[in-house]
Amino acid sequence: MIDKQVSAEPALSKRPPVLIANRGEIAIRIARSCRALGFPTVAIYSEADRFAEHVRYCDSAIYVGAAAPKDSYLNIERVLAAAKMSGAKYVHPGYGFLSERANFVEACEKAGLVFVGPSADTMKRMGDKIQARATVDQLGVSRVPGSAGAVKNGEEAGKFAAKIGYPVLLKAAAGGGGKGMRRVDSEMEIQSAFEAASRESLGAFGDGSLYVEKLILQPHHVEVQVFGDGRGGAIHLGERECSIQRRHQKVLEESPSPILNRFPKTRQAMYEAALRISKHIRYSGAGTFEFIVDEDGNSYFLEMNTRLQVEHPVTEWVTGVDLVSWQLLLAAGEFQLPEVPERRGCAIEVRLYAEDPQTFLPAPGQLGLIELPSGGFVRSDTAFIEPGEVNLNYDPMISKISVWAPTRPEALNRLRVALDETRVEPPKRRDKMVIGSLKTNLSFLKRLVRNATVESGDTTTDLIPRNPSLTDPATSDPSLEAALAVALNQILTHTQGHTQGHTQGHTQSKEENPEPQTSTWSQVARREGVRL
Amino acid sequence: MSSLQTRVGNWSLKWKTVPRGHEGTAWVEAVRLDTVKMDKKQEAALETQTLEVTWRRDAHGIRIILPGAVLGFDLQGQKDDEGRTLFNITQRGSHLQWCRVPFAYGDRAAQSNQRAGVRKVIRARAQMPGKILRVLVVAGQSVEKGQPIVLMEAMKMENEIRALQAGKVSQVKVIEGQAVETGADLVLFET
Repeated sequence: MIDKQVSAEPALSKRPPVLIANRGEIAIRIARSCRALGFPTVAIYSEADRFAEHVRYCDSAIYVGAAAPKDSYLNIERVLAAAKMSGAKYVHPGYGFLSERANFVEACEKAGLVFVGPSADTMKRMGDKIQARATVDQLGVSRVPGSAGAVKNGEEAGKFAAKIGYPVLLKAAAGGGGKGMRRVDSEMEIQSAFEAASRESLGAFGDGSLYVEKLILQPHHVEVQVFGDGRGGAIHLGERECSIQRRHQKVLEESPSPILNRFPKTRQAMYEAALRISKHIRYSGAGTFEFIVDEDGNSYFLEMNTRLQVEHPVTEWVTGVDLVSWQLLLAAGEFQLPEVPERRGCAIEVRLYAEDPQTFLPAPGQLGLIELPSGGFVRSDTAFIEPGEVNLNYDPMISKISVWAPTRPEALNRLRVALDETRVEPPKRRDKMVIGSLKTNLSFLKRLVRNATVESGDTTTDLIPRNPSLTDPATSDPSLEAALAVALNQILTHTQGHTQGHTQGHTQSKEENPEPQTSTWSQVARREGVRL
Repeated sequence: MSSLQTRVGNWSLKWKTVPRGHEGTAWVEAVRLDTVKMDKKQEAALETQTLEVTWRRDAHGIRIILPGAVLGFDLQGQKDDEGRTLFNITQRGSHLQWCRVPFAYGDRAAQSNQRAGVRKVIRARAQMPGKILRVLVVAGQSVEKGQPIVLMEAMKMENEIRALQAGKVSQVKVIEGQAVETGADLVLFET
């Protein structure tokens, strides 16, 4: 008995290392679970990431190439060479980059490494959207009406669209994240839309094939988190609603889904469908089934993501499960599938991006200040703990901010406070003139969590275009206090170093030339120009 | 003791003593002016508040102490195309936020440097770093508002840059295939 207890203790220092084939917040998040379980961690980094936080966080770090992803984080050869050099046994891909590349999984296996994720075969089967649809059809799970396979050209796409009816979506077979995706409202547009989407898809994924799908108007985007043991066993971990999107990318995610609270039968049907597919394909590890739910509670399978999702903290909040730990233990052969965990309360996550809050165009740049929220039931997943740079080579996400509360209204209140606490500022000169190009969507997120539709929970993927006030510029009519702050800032800037007071006739030229400075920041500003 | 007149947005602020230093206290008379033009009599009728303000500056803004409140503000100053200094203001720990607030000395609203009669040059600028895929206009060409002028690839997405208003292209500053930084001029127009 005693012997057994001793052997059940994890051999903390004896575990083989995990290579984290990613960067940014997810690399740190994975490293945290590795450390908790006693797996040594190996980071990889590109030229641009030499001083990135994930490099410092891991036990060791290996340089893999130039800043462009294709030369470093996407370069299979170099990532594997790094794994070999570090003596890692496991490779965790995170999300994005190599996480859904079956050829990477095969290469890992060939190199004698354990890929933390599904097998190459399952990935091929579910990762390719066209193959996935065939599997789903075979199992009788309903999906959005559309072409069974890729369409060759605009003409063929037009024929299909005429059959299922406009509006339709053209989607990249290899894609995700809205790249290579086009909405087409009429026959006239389909040829040009096909060419543009195909070109974009070819550039982004190296594959220009597209398929056609009917566009469900005012849809809810709901996904089911599953975890499979690779032997035909699988459990679900509830759902996440991710209806609020801009540029086809999620910006707010929550669990449980408000629309499924109205249609509990649909929820059960979705869990059942997700598990039927997972068991059928003997899915191994964390995976997500994305569905569209319409206003009447009909659900349609959209696609499967064979990886950890960006928004997994939402599921972790409501289930109490550390998904990355499960992934690691499964890879180490120490995982026993438990019962479906009970889900408690409500969790909401928002994504703080370096982007323009009106146009949502990326606006990366240097950070001058970052203060993320704290307090009970608040979680910030970030790779920025001190001023650094949001690098334009990579995803411009700064942080994920998530909260938990027993009920949805309480969770929203908590999220409002968390966002109000958050500060992200660009570098500034002493007179508070902005240096560089950083903008964030913080002001947008603050408005979003106060929006009446978001409060009601009836959120659809077209929420942002339907609520133009979310993206209006803020008023230029300040409160008295704010006006005092600006006036003081200007006067103090201009009176610094002067012994005589300034009078009413202060000139414009004075304002344009604050006291000379030779700080590094002002040199950077001069080089890049302060432009907005 | 000299006083100093400033104007921020719709607030006319008359400083009874000139504020100075990293920390300090000053007295200010504040009047909220309406955006509509008023004559002297109407202006005289406006309510003036006299306040004692204590401040402390920091790297990203300023903290002010007023009777009954201590508030912090993050300030982001920037120059617009016409040379005015505008501020984005966030009240710390709140959702309160103001955008493009003009500041000026004197008691009139911030004026642009631009003189009447000078032809206005409008710039189409890159909103993010990327690559120029196609230039759809040539110098001398007239464009309509909303007409696509440049096709740009940024963050692996294709974006059409459109004319913000009607005008005539005076200069094309980029060529196809060129990489551009945020804020780079793409095309100049005259109205």
